[in-house]
Amino acid sequence: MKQDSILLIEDNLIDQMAFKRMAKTQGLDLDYKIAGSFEEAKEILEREVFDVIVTDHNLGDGTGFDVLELNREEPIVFVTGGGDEEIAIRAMRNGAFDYLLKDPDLNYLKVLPMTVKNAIRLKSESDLLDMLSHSIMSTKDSVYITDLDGDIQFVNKAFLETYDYLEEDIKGKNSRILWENELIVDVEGDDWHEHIFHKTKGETLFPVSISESFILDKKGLRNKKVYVVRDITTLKKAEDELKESQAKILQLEKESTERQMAGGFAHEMRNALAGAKLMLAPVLEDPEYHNKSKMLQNSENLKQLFTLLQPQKEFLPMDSILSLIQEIFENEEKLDEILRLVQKATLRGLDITKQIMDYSEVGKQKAGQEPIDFNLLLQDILKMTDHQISSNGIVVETKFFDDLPKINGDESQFESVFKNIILNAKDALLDISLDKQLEKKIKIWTELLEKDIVSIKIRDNGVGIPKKNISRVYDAFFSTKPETGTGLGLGMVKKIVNLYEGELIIDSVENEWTQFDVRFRVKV
Amino acid sequence: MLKNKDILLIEDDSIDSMSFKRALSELGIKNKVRHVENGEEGLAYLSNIENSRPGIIFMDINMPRMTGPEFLKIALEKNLVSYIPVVVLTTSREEKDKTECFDLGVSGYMIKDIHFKDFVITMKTIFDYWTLCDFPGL
Repeated sequence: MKQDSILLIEDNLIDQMAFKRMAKTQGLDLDYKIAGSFEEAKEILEREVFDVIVTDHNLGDGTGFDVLELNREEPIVFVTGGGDEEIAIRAMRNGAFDYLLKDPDLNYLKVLPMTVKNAIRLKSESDLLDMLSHSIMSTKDSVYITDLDGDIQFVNKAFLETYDYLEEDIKGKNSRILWENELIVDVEGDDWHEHIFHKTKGETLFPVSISESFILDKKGLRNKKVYVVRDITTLKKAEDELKESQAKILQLEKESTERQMAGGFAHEMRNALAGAKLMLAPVLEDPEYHNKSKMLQNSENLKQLFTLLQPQKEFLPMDSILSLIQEIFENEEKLDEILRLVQKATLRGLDITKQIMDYSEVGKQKAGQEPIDFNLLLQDILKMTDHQISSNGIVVETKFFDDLPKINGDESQFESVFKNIILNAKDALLDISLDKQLEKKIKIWTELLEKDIVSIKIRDNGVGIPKKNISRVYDAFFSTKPETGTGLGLGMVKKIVNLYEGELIIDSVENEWTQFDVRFRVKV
Repeated sequence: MLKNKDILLIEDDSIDSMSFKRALSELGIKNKVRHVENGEEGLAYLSNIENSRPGIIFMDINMPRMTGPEFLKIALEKNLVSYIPVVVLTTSREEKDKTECFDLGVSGYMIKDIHFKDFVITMKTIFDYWTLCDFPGL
């Protein structure tokens, strides 16, 4: 063990000797140095550090107060002559650690060793306390201590910053006011508890990670509660961002798998359906017989056969023959009808597989480079789709921005974007219930925003999109039109717009209107 | 108006008359169909005062013994078809037949459709029209 080191500052030689003798006779485990004057003490203290300084009041070239003014780390024990209690008290006020009164018989020296030990012990305890309180005060986590009723008795600096209180505002208040809905959640235990929200003085909620522990009294009973709280807003944000990007990756993977599967599946289906189409065609439209169906040919042949039998009619059971013929006719008509339905279904199936195959190709598509005039493109699309739109009593209003800058791209990709949106608008208008007397209208207009953004807006006053569906309209296979839709249209639109780093904004009020806004930046 | 008046069908082809009756039953038309196989029988039917006057007459053009137009000419002379619409049902697209019929004042000239379904639609239109049409009360 390291010996305690003492600096004795004493100008009186007799007192110095008495000290030396005391140290020797009492066998003290002391490592001491003696300075005979204030100047000498100063010199020694510039080089060395001690555990305790013991100084006499009168030092000849100074006093013990000069020693105190040096502001040393070491605890200082102040020694004064008897009857000088006043000075002793002044010394204590000026930072002396303890004092001793010199008596003529030098009995004070007997107390000195214990005083020194005490000073050393107390100093190290106070250092430790300082260190602890400093670390609690300056830690980045908020700390608050309450009594068992939850009344706040201590808060640290981080607490005041985080919760935005002044120390005098919060001390004595119940800690309930820090919790969301003023409900204190039981967080006892060693673990950090999460998914808990605290609030600042201004009622701003923030996510916290919190731990609770207890201070025990001397009998070992719980006396105070200590809470350590960490504001995890940033952590949570980072976590959320991570989750979001993971979700994005998953989504991309999902889409890519979806497209691969869909593409492969559609390809197989297409082969099967194309075969069916090929086989159905000559049955329903026989090119060798004026495109008449086989069933119709059968009926006509039967009728001719019957005519051939006419001359023999007296010898034949005509009624039975006629009723058989009627039955055959009815069967042939049924066959004709059903095969036509099969043909229709086959063609629709082919149509869908074509769309799915297009969709599966989107991911592989490359952005084109020809300059496209959207005003002209939109006019062409309107011409192409006119028969589907005007025949349904829909009026199209257009307003084209003069000198709209061209956007580089692939015409057929852009065409697919706007055709999809316009036909969607048409469908939305056809879904309006008949008793709603309104003019079905599609408004299309182009604009130039902020000098370099071309915006194409397409708005219909149809059924609109329910709020809960708006975020799903791009999902592959999500469709509200089970009869006609494949659920690939808008997903494809979005993919192509993304391909050109454009923006697609959908806005809608259910039962009122829907507006698509497609935006592309002009590249210089 | 046709209401529950009878329908007179002058048609020699058993299959065509079968189709005619099938179309009517498909349309849910309950009026009785009086079927004769040629013009001569048609005249006999109309002349017999025991038979109720039909609300509408459908006739073919080409029939053995007496053709449709021949029947109509005589029926007009004998005043047997006044206020009765006469509709021609035929496979003939010949201009000569059309003018002959319209010269005799027929109410309609329908080419028989190949598809039974289309034939039903034609019949529905004819019946809807003549059901709506008001007649002088006789």
